[in-house]
Amino acid sequence: MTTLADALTRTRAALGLRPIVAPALLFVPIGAALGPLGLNAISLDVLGHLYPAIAIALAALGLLVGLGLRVKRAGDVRLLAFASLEAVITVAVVAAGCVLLLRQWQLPLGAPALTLAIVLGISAAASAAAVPRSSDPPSYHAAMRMADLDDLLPIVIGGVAVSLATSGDARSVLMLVAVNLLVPAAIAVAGWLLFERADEPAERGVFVLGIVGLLGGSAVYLGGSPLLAGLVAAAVWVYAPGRTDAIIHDDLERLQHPLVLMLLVFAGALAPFTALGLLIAVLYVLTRVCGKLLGGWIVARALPDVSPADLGSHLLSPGVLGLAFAVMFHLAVASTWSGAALTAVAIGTLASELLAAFAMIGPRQA
Amino acid sequence: MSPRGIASWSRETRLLLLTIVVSVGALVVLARFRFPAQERIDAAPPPQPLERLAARATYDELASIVQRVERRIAPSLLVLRTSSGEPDGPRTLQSLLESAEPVGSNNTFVLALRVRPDVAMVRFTPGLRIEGALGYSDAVPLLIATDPLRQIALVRVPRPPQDTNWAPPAIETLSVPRYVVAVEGSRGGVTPRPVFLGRADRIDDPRWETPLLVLARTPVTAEGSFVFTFEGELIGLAAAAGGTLAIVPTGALEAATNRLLESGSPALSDFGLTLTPLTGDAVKSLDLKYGVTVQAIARGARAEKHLRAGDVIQSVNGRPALTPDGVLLQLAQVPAGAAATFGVRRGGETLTVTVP
Repeated sequence: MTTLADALTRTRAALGLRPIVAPALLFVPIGAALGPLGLNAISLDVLGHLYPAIAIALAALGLLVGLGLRVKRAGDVRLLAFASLEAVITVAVVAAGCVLLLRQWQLPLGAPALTLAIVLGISAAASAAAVPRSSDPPSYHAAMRMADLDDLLPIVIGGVAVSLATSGDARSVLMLVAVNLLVPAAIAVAGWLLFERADEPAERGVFVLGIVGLLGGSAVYLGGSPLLAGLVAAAVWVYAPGRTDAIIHDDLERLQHPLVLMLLVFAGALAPFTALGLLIAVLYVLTRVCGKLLGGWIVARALPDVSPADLGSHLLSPGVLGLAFAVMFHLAVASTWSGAALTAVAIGTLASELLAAFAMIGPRQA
Repeated sequence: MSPRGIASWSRETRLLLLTIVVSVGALVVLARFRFPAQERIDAAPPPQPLERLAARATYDELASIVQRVERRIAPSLLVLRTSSGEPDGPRTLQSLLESAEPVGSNNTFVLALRVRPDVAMVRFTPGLRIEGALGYSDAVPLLIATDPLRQIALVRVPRPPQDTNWAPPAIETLSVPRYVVAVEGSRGGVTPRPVFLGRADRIDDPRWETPLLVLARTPVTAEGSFVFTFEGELIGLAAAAGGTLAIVPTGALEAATNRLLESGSPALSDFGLTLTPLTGDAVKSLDLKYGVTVQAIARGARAEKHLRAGDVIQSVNGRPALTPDGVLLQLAQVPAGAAATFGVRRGGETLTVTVP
């Protein structure tokens, strides 16, 4: 598998493309081929048994995003604010475009068009910039940082949206969101007490696995977002005294790649790939590209000293987080519209990765 | 804007504008697209292991699930106030006081399902008169098409409020055993309740293209109720069939609704036949396994010159004639002006009779 990935990277480099890490291009189709619609090696029953692992993978992903934030300097806060602005613009453009067309189409969704549009908007807001080369100007590093930071707000909005989708009641959703913030925070405090007192790496590894499992499992049980649970726990550890965040980061790094791979394969296998989803995918890709370029264009003009002028092109690659949102919504709702959203985001992710690769061809700009 | 002016813009601005123009153009083209048909989507995966463990729902949990389903499906439903008509003859205060029922008690409340934002489908009963819709006091729904054979009607109803996101209900096929939500209309509004379906046998009904799903001999819900899954997907309409209660699947309902929308109320063909079941004597003497006997033919009816009293009808348009009701329902659906072909036993002779 590594050889194939290397070969792809080399081919892309030979074509003049930047070596963007886009595992989705490889593993989502593999998941689709192995899934119930393909060879059925990953049957519906197998998918059902993978649910707990996926909840844990989502929590781990939220943890990794949270640990990557480390907003401690004034410059980081400014970047976070503008990254969030860019995410809001993307969510707004995608949601507005989708809600207009979905209402026009009157698709058999079984849910309000606005609900699906917001889920697509949240999934579209995530981005993963390419790792800059040493020869790249500093603004490229800022673009990568921006791509990391713009995941924060969608995770928070996604957490509220999942609570809303599972409770279905605006009044009880506040209570649900509060519970879904307090419980991971409490688990994080418990983890902080455990990690700080564990000397042996093996003992610590067991604690880390247990805590991540607890975060994912409790979030699913409470009808909340495992991504948000991971983010909240990471925020507690980042700002808590001691070196808990570093311990968790080191341990999670070993699990990161297998978890991402499993999530991508799972997403490919779970997506129903219906005509409805394919149609929405076209809409998703078009509006997402517009949203990202518009958000990047506005932020690049607001922060000319920090970000590159072509910031939007850097943010086109959606990474794994967009798919993680769609998978999370589908696990929480398990309905026709969430399946269509997952299909649209899966196809949209592949298309966006290709577009991102081609958008980065051309003159480098500082 | 001159080409030179555009050329002076930065590469990013030009890329952004080009993307927006291309995307808007593509979206305008896509907006003309209409989804051809409602498709069944197996989106919901099987229950996960943790869910299986936690599936022993208490009654409180069941109630909260039903409440959640009600919120999901509420934009698709509305309750119509109907009446079976005012009492005949002149009315005085004395006759009013002597009547067994107080004023307004002849109102009934039926549930309607929006098939378009301004059109709803409702169960049709003879003499149906719609007086209003709950929650829409300033508009009176209008009956626009009826299908007495299938007992459904289309009603022009007020559009949902602007802040309600109406969407056509998704379709679900029925797999059992499972809990479903049967929704009825009542004076208080949309009234859902959970119903457990242990099995759902299929029965043919000549009025519908697809088999119906028998619920139970003891009615588990009322006629005219709409049945939904716990995910808010429509399974069908509860209707009387073959002396029991059955679910008319959503696909059959959709086909019938589309016909009503396109062609209006259908004209029913009456061949003027009075039919009786085959007697035991006829079975023995004619060595028949099935059929229905023509008892009488109305004077001047289409079939008068072609069929005779005492004929045994064995088939209509190639389909076996099993019961008098089935034959009459099948004949009623013969399009106006079209002929019907009967397989008939007359005496010891087997004939094929075409009634134009």
